Amino acid sequence: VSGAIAGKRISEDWRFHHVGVASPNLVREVANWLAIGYVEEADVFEDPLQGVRGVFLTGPGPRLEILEPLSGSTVLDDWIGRGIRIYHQAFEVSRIDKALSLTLSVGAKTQRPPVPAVAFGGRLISFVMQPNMNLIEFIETPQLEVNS
Amino acid sequence: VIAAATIRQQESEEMDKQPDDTARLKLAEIFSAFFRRPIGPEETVNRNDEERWDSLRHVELVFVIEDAFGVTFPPEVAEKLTSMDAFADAVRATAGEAE
Repeated sequence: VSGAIAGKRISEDWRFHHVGVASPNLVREVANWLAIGYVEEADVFEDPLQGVRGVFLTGPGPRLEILEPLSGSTVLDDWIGRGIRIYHQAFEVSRIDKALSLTLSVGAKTQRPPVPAVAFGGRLISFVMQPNMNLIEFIETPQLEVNS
Repeated sequence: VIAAATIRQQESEEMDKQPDDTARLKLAEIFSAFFRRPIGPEETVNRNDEERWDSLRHVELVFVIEDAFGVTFPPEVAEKLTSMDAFADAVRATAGEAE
């Protein structure tokens, strides 16, 4: 229980944003989600730095970030090869350095240090992995600090 | 007498080698499973030469090896573990610190 209380403190200012879905084919993937009531939230984006093309969908479940690899990119190969589709969950945080440091203090490791992301207007994102292989994305959203 | 001394010396050398050999064998098993090909304990495996050793797999590999050997690598050490030899050295050093 004490661990759960400490854990709540670590994530108290996180705001859920999306789950990431890896796909070999964006068009086919999106069509399947549209068929069950999801809609495109914004235009398709391309992020050469991440090596992905993607689109956000909203619908009856949590917001989805559908991603396919850009030509020549292997960034999603491992997930797709292992048959894993939903592979990360993303949270907005007011300060990415603080979120990283707190999650690292409970055993996580940085998978990708902060980089600007096209999908979020150049805001910083970063990925950490917990020892149970749970992959978490942080999206720096400074205005959250005002609300928290 | 000489023969007995020789045998004792050989046994002693075997004992000295054993922890390292066991660690190398265990690492080779982990690397084989990870990279889906047979990898021997004496083989040289470098991150630059392994197509599947990307940043994601690196973090997973570090966690798997930490778990297998009951050690924890600090971030500044983990990021430098770019070969099976480096992992073997780090396991030895970390286990040595714990003793």
